Amino acid sequence: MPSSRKEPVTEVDRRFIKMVDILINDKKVKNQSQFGYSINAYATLLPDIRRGKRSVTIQQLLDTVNLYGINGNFFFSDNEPLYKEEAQRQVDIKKAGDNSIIGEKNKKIFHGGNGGINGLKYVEYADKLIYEELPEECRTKCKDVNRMLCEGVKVLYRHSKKLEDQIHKKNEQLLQIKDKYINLLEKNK
Amino acid sequence: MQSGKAKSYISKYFVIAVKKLKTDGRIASQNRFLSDYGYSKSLISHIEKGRQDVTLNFLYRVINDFRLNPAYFFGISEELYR
Repeated sequence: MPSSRKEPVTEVDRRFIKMVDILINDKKVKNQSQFGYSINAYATLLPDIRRGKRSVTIQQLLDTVNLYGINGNFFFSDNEPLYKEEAQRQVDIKKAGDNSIIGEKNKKIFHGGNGGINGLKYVEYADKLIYEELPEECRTKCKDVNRMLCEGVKVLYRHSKKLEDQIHKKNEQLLQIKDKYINLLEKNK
Repeated sequence: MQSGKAKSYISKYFVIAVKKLKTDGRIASQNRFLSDYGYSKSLISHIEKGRQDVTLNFLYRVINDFRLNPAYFFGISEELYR
């Protein structure tokens, strides 16, 4: 039986509720009750979580992740995609990006060293495609623009890291304020 | 590994993570760490013995306070830190 005690809805619970709403919206599950049954829980699991009567358990979370192909990181950090597939796609894109942004790594996007097309290594093939058909003047310009873009990406990357750190600090401050108010509320009860 | 009996693998990785935080000097001691979050000092031992799971709320707070990688707790990544 659900306890009659009401607790504030935790962040993980909030994200769990959001996930179920998306699953319903994406027609992966018909309604809250069906969702509850699908993870071997009960029909009122979601309403109970919404009211703060219960919290989602690790087992329920793991069952959901496995059954619906959910990205587990979604529950614990911001800006994470809900579905595993999308998360994997982002990881692949990031890997390609990491390999193409900075200096020597630039060459890895073609997986240079080993492979090749028609006897040419990928890097050489790419250079041929990009530069060889162009007149000397254009080639120089292309190389300059390429260098400039790489520098720009590096600057943006550093900037995004700084912003990420700032957001994290703000989050910590907000969490501290939240904890302070929860403590005050508990004391006043 | 002492945490082999943990109820779920998330709990198992949680115990390993707490030990690593201690080794890396990110926390002074397990007991202090647990009491800072309002938990009993026997929690880790209970989790290791499979008597209970770590709560998701606790896990969420630790992940965000220490900037840990959530994928580590799902066994997807070996990197504990983000």
